[in-house]
Amino acid sequence: MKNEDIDVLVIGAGAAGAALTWSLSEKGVKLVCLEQGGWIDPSTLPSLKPDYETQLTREGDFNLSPNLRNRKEDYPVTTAGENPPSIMMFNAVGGTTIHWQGIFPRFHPSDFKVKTLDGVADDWPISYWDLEPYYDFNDKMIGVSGVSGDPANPPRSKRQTPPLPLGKMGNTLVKGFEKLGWHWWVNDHGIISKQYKNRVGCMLHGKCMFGCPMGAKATTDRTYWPLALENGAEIRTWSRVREITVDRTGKAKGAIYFDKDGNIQEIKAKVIVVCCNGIGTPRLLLNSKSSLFPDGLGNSNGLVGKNFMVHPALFINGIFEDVMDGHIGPMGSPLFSHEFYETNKNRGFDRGYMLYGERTFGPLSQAGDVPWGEEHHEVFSEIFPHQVGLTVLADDLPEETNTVELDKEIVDSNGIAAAKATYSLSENSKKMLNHATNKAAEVLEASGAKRVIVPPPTNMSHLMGTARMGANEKKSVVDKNNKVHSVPNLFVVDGSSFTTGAGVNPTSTIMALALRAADKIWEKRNEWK
Amino acid sequence: MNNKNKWSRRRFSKAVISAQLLLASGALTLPLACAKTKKSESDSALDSSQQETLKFAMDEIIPANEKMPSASDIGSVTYVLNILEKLPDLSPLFQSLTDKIEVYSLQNSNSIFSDLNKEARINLLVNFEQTEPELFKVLKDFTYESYYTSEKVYELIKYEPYPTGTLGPKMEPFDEKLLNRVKETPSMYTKI
Repeated sequence: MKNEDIDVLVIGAGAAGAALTWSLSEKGVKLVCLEQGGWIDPSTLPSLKPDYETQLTREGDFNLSPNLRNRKEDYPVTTAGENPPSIMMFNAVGGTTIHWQGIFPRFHPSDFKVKTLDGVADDWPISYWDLEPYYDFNDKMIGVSGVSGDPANPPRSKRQTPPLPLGKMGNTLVKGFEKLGWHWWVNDHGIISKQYKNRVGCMLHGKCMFGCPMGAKATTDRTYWPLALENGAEIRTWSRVREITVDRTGKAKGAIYFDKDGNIQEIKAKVIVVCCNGIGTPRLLLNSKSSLFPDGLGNSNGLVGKNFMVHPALFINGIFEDVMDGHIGPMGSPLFSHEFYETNKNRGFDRGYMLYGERTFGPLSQAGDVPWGEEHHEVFSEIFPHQVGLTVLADDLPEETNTVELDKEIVDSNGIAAAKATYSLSENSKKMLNHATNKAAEVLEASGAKRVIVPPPTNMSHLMGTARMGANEKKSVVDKNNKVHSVPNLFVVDGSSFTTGAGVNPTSTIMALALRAADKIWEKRNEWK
Repeated sequence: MNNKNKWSRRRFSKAVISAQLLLASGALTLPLACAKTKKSESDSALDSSQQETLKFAMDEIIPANEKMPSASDIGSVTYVLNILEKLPDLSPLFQSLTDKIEVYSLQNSNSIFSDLNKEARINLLVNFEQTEPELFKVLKDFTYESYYTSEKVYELIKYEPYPTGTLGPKMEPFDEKLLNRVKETPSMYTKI
């Protein structure tokens, strides 16, 4: 082992790891980031190919599921429960932002205080207003398209670029929302519609989940990482951490990892930050066992891996007479509604959900549920290109029975125990999804849909809650500054630190938390030893 | 990508700069990946009788009608053969698929699948779907995949894939006047 005198070791180079590393690198901190994947060659992205949709239907380098990609740097995730979660993540510089849609809403202030307001789950130990400056700063760093002034959310500064176009399907949904007099607004996106800083604006190709070689989508390999590296931060790719080590006093000492050649290396640092997502983080903590932490690091109360949240979802479609061209345009969401976001006890459930217009994939995906045989062409021509997607993203409240554990049998390519994710919908979520189904159908019908298709519930694969933040050490894993309660120099900064899931996409909150945590780590620099 | 083909930060930066310039120009047009015919029967993972079975089965999954071609009309068998050339591990799966269809056909009708009449072929596949769901799914998924990645089908269904690197679609910019009503509504979020 080399004596490298590293101040901060960051594990994971995705949304959180990138923002946090950049922020600390601005202050001159000596940082190393270990990332189990590599830099993604933009010329290999499936969005460059017309048959990109095959990445959804069978094994391939860019399948959304690590279980179907089979890259060496991926690790298996087995699933269980009444509603086994679909798993989407990416292991590379940029992390899951590589195939993320770029939808960039913020939590509501009420999302941080659900115990106080609604008597459910727990309050976060921080408020919206603690995060607001970081949300705003992050927007300026990466460039967000949208319009400020939404009455369903607190005021926010002028968006860096104008909104992405609504397209025919978006405009059709607007008619429905207007007819019903319901709230709607254009979505914020981490996709720039015009040139911003050194990146070109979106050209509307619409394959965002299959990589954006243009760089219009704010993947962190194109936003934060180049700046962090210019500041002197180091990123070690193809470096998979096996465990975090501790000294005799219980302080985190460093990490043992497999390097690109499969050799075991050890690295030491004064501060360690885990940014491996809501599955990777508990997996690493649970794999970091020692005599002081026999059940895994930070797990003295048994909560590491508990309270796994994924955002229950419904992908509802309306079939229209007219051509809707729902597959044309940026793949994310042209507009959303928070009409049913805040708690209304008369609805019979706590918290609420977001409805958002969602563009469809191409014809291969849309053919998936079309029957084979004589009626195939007739049914296909009814739905293509006549579909409009309206997605339900439901607030996910923590349940201790929804978990990420170590799989007892399966290991990754380095022999490290894989993760096992277990998820069942709560009664509250089921009631919420029933309500949302009716409301989504109402909008689609008001928009002119002749038929509404409601598939079974699924989830958004937003990986959250497994190292939750809280003021009470007995009921949480990290404190209000993302520091692990029982380890003075270990931090967890990613979706796993969410106390509740809220009813919106998580990435802007993950990045805001990362920038805030970087400041909190820096404030305590005199305690680094 | 695997560890043998690693990208360094420097290579990544160079590629990003050149790709942005090229892609932003819209000048790059990439060839369609689908339905290129290059295999002959003699060097295929499936022999001619297996290919015949696959062709007839795929054509019952997606048959022709007055407007649309059948699966084999757009080269679905060749598509599968090309995949098997790239992914030879899949060959036993397709061999098993075609062989099992023939076993079913002989058991039920004492005839090879391609000699059955259309109704009998459909009945056999309905039965096959129930008794061999995983193998049937392979047949259906690859038939759909070959069909809906075909340039010819794209033209017929008027689908323009707009691969990144070509000029994107024309879309009207967002008209902020659409938000006038919502802008006038009182704030809806819980203030805390």
